[in-house]
Amino acid sequence: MSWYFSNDKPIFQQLVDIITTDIIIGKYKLGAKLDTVRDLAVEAGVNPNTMQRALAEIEETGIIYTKRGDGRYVTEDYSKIASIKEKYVNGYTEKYIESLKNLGLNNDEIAEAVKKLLK
Amino acid sequence: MDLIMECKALTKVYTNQIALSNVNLQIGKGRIVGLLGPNGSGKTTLIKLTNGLLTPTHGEILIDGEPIGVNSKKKVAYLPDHNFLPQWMTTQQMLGFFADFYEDFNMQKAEEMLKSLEIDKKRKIKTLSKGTQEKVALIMTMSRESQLYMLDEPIAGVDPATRDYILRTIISNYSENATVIISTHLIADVEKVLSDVIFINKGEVALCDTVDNIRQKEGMSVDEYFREVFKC
Amino acid sequence: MLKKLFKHEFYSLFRNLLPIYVALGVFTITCKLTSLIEMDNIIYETVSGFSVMFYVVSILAMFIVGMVIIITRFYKNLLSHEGYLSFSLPFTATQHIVCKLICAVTMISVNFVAVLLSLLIVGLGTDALNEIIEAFKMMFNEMFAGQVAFRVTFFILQIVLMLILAAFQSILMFYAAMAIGQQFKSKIGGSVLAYIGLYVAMESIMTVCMIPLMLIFGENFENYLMNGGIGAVQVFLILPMAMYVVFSTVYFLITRHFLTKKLNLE
Repeated sequence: MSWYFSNDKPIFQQLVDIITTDIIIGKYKLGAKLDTVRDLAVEAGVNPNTMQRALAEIEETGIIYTKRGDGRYVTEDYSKIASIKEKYVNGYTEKYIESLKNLGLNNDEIAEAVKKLLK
Repeated sequence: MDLIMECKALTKVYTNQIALSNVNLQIGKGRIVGLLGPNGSGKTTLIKLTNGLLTPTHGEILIDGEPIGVNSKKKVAYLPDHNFLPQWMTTQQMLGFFADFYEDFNMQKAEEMLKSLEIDKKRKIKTLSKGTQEKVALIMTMSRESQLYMLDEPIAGVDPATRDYILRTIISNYSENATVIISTHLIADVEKVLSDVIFINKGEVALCDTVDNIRQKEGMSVDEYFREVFKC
Repeated sequence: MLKKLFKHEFYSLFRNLLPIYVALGVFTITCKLTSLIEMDNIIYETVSGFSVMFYVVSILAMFIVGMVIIITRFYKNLLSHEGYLSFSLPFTATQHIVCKLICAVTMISVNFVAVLLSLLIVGLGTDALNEIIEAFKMMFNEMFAGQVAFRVTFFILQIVLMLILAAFQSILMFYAAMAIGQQFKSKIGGSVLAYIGLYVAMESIMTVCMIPLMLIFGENFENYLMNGGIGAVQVFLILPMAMYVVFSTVYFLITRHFLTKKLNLE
């Protein structure tokens, strides 16, 4: 029913990640209206304040915006979503590279490892 | 911050033990606060004091700026950790009782919640199962449009489905003007719902912070942090 | 708002008494009927005998059950789990006690009136009752004729007032005993002990208070009562009345203290 959260990060950050991912993969379509804070909070099983904070955070990246007195909408401008997507891709990749470097791999070996698994 | 509840140097001494010692707290409006602590740490004493079931030995509690009394009781919706429903009444009579005594009781809301759970209002409370009685008690409490809800161990001893129902009810009743205080020792279950937590240990406030802050600072969930702080 | 507190209190007190009122009504009628109709028949006589017995039992039950209801209502509503609900209602402890007290005394009075009415109905037309009524008529005629009329009315009122005060005191004594008793681990055991304690204390205080009175009036006391007529009795009745007021007040204060400062809900 409610969403899954890990223990090591603040919940609002995890909400930001979950909702942003949903927007990137198109679960929320371009220009679509989002549910109210309360409905989203009930769906996720979290505190409405936390949901509010997460949405405000996402809003700063520009992929959602508020229409006064009407609610929140996903942006119609795909380039904004694309740039956030790139940020996420970079973020995950950096983390991945970081762990492999910790194992002592150099750049070539890392590229090799990725290629091998992608086949 | 607009305060709904304030404790000033609050102390409660029973005949042979100190239940609360110099507790100072400020709780704002629109929060969902977890009152956390091991059994016997003073959680229930604090809640009873807030509802006027006990009188402080020293210090005072203010609800929306007023001392505990008839006026504060009008503003606080209290769900005790004991089944408080008069067993001889029917749920229907219980609705009438709450509507008679609490001006903020929303009959329509209560009826809707009872209907969605398919609870037969004509049955006497004592003929309902324990779980259903707990739901009726919760519905009565949450159907008041109060400024402060105090729920004492609402999720202890209920099955997971009921627990989800209770937490969902709390979230969907959320209002920016109302604060909910939930006392519990089952932190993992409520953590996501909370905005703030108050740790009480041996009658003293050990910690008072937002859930996000704790997770950010400590890099672990409140539940894990709690276990670490109160390791025994 | 206080009106609603009374409404709920009356309802909770009377809802259990209703069957007994019905029983009293039914047996009043059967007693009346069997006393009117005479039949030389064993079965009929057995039935009429039983109906008299049930009649007496229902009168006794009314007073006993009434008292039990008053006591359990206070205990359950304020000192058991229900107390969580009662004490979080927007009322003061004083309002709770006063409301319960007034409703309880009202119930006892209603019971008295009901039994009195029923006895009148059963006795109506019988020689014994006629004689009593005649005697009363004579007495009243005599008394109301002269200057004493006012005094007799006042005397009757005084007796009624005294009975009501006595009811207040005995109910408050139960309340105080339970308020003290809930402090202990066994609340019911504690309450019984507290009741015995209060009773002994009250008796001792009364005895001590009687000594100076005896010393003052001494042997003249009896003479005074015998010769002083109704006036003397009236003066004498002030004593128990004052006592009821004093003890009621003390019991009320004890109850309030324990309910506000030392409430011990499990």
